[in-house]
Amino acid sequence: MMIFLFRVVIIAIVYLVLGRFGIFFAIPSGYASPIFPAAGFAMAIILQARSSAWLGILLGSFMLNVSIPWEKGSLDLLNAVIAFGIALGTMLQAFFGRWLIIKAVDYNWKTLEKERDIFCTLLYAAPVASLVSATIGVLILYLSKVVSGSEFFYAWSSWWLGDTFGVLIVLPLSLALLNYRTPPWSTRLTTLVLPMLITLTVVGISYMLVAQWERTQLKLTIQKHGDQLFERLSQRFIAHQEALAALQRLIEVTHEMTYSQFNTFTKITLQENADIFALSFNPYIIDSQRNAFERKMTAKTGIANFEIKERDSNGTLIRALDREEYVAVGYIAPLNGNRPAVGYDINSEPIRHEAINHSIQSHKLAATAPIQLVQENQQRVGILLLHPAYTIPDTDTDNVSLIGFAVAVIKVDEMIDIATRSALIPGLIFDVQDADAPADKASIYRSQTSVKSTDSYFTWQATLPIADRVWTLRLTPTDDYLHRQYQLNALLVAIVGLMLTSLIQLLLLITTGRAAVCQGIVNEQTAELKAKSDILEDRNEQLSALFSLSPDGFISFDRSYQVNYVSPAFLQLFGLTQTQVIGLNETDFSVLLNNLCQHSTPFYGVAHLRTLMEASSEKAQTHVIELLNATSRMLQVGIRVNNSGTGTVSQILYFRDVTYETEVERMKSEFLATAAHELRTPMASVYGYVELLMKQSFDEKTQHELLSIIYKNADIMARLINDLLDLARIEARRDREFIYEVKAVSELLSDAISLYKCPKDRVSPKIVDSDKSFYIHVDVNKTLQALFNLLSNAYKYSSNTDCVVMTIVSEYNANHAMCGIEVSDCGIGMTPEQIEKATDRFYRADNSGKVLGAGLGLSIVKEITELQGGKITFESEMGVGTKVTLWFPKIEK
Amino acid sequence: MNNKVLLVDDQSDIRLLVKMGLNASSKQSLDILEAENGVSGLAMIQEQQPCLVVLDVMMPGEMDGFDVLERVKNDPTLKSVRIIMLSACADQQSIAKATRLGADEYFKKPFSPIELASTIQRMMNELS
Repeated sequence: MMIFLFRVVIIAIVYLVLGRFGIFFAIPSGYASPIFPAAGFAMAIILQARSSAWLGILLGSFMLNVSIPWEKGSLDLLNAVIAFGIALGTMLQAFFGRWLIIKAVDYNWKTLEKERDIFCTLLYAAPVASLVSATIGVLILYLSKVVSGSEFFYAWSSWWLGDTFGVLIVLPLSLALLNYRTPPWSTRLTTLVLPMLITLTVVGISYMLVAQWERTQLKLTIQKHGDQLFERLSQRFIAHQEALAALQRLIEVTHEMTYSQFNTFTKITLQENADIFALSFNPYIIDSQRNAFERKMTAKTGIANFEIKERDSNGTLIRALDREEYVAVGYIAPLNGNRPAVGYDINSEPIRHEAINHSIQSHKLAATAPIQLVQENQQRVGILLLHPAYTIPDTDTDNVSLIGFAVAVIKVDEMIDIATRSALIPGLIFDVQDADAPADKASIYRSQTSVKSTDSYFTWQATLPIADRVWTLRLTPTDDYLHRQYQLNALLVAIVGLMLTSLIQLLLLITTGRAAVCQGIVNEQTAELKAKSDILEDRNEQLSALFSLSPDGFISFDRSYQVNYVSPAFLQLFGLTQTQVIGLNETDFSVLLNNLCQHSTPFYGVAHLRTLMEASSEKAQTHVIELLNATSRMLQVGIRVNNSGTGTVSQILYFRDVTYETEVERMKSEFLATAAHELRTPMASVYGYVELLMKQSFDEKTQHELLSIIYKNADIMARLINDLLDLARIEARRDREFIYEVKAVSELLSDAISLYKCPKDRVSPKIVDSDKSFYIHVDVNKTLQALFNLLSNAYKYSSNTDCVVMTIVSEYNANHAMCGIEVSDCGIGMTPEQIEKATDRFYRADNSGKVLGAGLGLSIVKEITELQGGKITFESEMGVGTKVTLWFPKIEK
Repeated sequence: MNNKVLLVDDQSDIRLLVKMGLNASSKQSLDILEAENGVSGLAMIQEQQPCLVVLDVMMPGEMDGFDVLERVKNDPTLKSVRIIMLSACADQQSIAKATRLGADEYFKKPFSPIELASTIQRMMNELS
């Protein structure tokens, strides 16, 4: 609830501020503003559909429309009702706009990316929806008689224009600021809002400058009119002054003239100056001369009982009361209509008296304050100009004395009318006041009454000296005049500027919208590409893992037959680096490789391999090369050509390490050859002697000899075959037939002694250190067989001595504790070379044939020992003896 | 021209077999010499200048049958010595090697002592 109220207040305040801002631009003041930004804000906030929006707008608009009369101090109930009506119109307009927009573009206004969405949104929100507020608002003002019928259209169109521009410009800006976190508005803060604010500032400043210039121009025009009026008026006054001065001179020369003489003299002046109501000569009479004067005037004028008069409090003419001095009207022209004035003592009236005093003191022309002219039935303002006339001295030393006053009665309104005549412009109020007179009696002239003039800025004012008094001239334009005179240049500048701004905004919206759409597409495609490239990368990683883990080396060539890929295995096999190989052409690559091959197995070159492949029907062609380096690996080289014509790889060269296979192959054939040879030798004896026995007859002794040779050789063959089969079985089954158990080494040795069939006439083997309690994990029978073979060898190769000894030894190193069974003899011994070959199959240290055996015994021992996790070591010296030790991991029981 | 025949073989059984075969089919008496390895065999050839040598291939010691054969055939003074190879090496490579080195005959073990003896007799006759 608090948040709701908070929002309402915030929205209302923003609306109020924007509204005041708009009104600030209304020139001439009081008129509609060219832009009303609050309307755009209202539309945006209603579009965003916050529940607090409508109330905020209603409140804001009401506050705005109340604030204007409140400022002028004219706030009343009617104004409040009008403000509320306008506020309702504002709210309705926003809702109507929202309804139209959603109907046209759905919710695409949220992004405003596509041209159609932008056009439709701005069209419906601005010129269309703005009809609502303008119509409702102006109708309310018309009904409440604030706006007249003639003003209706102007008020309506300017209201509509202001709202239209307000929405057109501020709606997108508001949307951008309200949604600044979400795209595409987030980027539009810089691409739209910033340039728009700059443009608006420029337009605003231009508008203000032009408006100011226009005001200045108007003021200057009014001043010019004023100056013109001043000039004419002062000239006219000077003319009257001169006329009066002429009369004064005449009076000074002949002050005892006749009425007809006076008439003749003044006639022309009066005819030509309609504003001079009368000219008169008012003699100055001191009280002692009164009677003489009255008698003289009775004779002169023919008026019976001429006397000096004054007006009583009722305004009736009566005989003037006695006072020290009188200034009575003597001669006056025109006489007609002015007869009652003759004899009137102007000194009896305070305003005139004041002017007389001034004139007497200054000896100069004096004017009265404005007076109501009594001579005519019509009430009109006039002034009296009094010029003092003196006696003409005969000599320089004579004192001059005051004779009287030459007086002109001026009808001021007529004088100003004549003076200004065509110079006064309708719509300008010309106002003249006597600056020295009291305020209620100061007004001399006012060209127009009861017209509004509110702006005092334009008022022209000047002071005009009239004799000893000062007149204030004032020229004020009426509101009507100002409105007519305004060229509306500023408004035009504003409208054009705002139109351009709207256009710029439209373009910016379209371009940023397009950019956003493109960005969207780009993002989508980038994501797609990324997904694809991720898959590719996965595949690549898989492939490179495959290639790097493969023991086979690969080389691929691109379409121009240059190396474009080498696998790590290849580099390792040949001891090359990637940079040495990548980019090489076929020929250079072939040369490089050939230099790394044994001369016996040259690398023929890639082209050669391909030719071979094309010649044969085989899909792949291979040949084997042997490396020159220390590893001496045997490599099978193959080529596969990509004949599909697609892909970047033209052919692949692969190198398979066949060192092991080749070695196995070699060993197998060597073994077969050796085995065959070993079988053929005893077989030769058997076969040969049998043939001799069959073909020839021998004596019994020889027969027996031959048969024992045959038997001996047959026995050798049988043993050989048994050993071969043993070895084959052990090898084939590996250790699957082994039955492991934990056995004390000493126990194993005593078993060996008791089970071993010692050769005839030989001493059984001795056991040393049998008390050592070591345990090993072995197959007892197989181990015993190994020991028997060792013992057998020991006896075979030490035919002359009997010193076969079995010893239990042990060895410790970082990782293992090993237990060894050492079998030593004092036989013929072995050279280091012989030791190296001792466990090879069919190898015999003594090949003379004196020692029986096929050379498989130690092979079998080695096989048995190593299959059980042990090892065999030899220690020997020629002619001294041999020690063979079988080592097994020692275990704790 | 003498009638010396040298038997070079590490196996005494084989030497005996060849001798007995020769004795059985003998039409003329032959002076039969024996050596049990390549080194002594070559020494005896150089020393005794036998007409014919029966030579085993695989023998212990520094020289095998092929070495002896090569030395004999490359020695101009021993050009006339006929050599019969008698070997358990029955493969084609060995036979080809022997032929290339200049062996006159090649017998594979097992062999017929009577056939060998008749071959020796025939060659001795050709020589004489």
